[in-house]
Amino acid sequence: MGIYKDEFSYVNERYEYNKMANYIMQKQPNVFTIEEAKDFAKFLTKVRKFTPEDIYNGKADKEINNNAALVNIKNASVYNQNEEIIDIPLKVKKEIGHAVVIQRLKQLVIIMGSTFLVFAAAKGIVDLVNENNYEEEIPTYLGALATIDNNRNEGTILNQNSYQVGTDQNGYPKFAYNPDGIAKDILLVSSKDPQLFDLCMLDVYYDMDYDRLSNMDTVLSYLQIRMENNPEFASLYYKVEDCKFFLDYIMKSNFANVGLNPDYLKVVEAYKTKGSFQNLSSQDQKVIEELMSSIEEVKLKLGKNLKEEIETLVQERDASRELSQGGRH
Amino acid sequence: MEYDVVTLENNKDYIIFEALVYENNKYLILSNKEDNKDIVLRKVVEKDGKEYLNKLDNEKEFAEVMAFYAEKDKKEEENK
Repeated sequence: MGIYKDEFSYVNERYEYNKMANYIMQKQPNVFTIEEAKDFAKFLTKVRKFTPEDIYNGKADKEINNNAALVNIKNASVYNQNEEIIDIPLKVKKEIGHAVVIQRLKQLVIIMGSTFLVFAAAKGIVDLVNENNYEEEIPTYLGALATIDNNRNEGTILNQNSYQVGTDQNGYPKFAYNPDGIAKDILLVSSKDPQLFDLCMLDVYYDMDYDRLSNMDTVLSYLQIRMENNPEFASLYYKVEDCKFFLDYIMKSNFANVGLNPDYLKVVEAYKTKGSFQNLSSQDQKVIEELMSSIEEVKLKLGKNLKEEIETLVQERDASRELSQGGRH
Repeated sequence: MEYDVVTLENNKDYIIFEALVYENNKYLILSNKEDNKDIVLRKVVEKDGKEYLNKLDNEKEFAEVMAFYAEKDKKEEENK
């Protein structure tokens, strides 16, 4: 969610992803499975910032073709599940050929090597992001990765157990998030670059589909447990509570202060009570959609100054606590 | 120009156009001599003092090696 244009709302994204996947499969027949094509469509829209219309108009064809070539190389290079391991003795023969052939091949691989792999998520996002402006890109990558997996090891994204994937009654992919896995992913990313912690946390919060409100506390709890048990993450530990404080501030306490309509809170509470987006009235569903759109604006607004925002909030909280403790003595 | 060729499990000859060392493993990027769109990656595995060519264990390994190659080549181009 989040990065879609207005005309590509959350409600119709499943339809659009199927449509884009069909386009990709027609463009490159017999290469992608339907799930891989959907994954790639998500990458093209979420990371490469193509709109669905761009894709249908052929503007992403070069990326689709490159990725198809790369998938073919991958299929020829990796053992599949039932394949017998064959040891081929390495015997090198010397031959004479034209240098231009080698150069052409090299260029081909370079182009493909810098193309996104639909199956590259397992590599971890840090290296991918390092090639870009990570402050801008990492929330997008996390968002993409959070929805990218369908058929690989029941939801492997950054590591095992990150997300569990099922299918809903209509046959659509269902993304049930494993809070412990998300906590691991946040630590994986943050341990490589602690500065990313705030952005990761905030983005995971926003990208946890409609389960975010009920799941985030659990994610934070897992994070705290993992940090307590691992000295490597000690430097991040103090941030968890502060982050929670900040997220609570946005989502539960004071919508108006970050430019959101306070009436939204009532709808969010209704959603939490009813437990499902589909159970809301159509009017409330519209409010949730509007809220999600607004959250993206708020995130953009606050993202750059997130650290300062949190520090101010924490200072206010600590002052309040001191006052409260002073009163008890 | 002289180049190295190996024969793979399909009995076809492949040109070695890049040898990589990534995380203490040696990899070869190979191209079918007769069809330059047929490109594969193989890992060099040592058993009983002899070297063998194997496919990679999983997609993660493949993605890592390809990304390593792209990055390596990018740096080499920058240093030219």
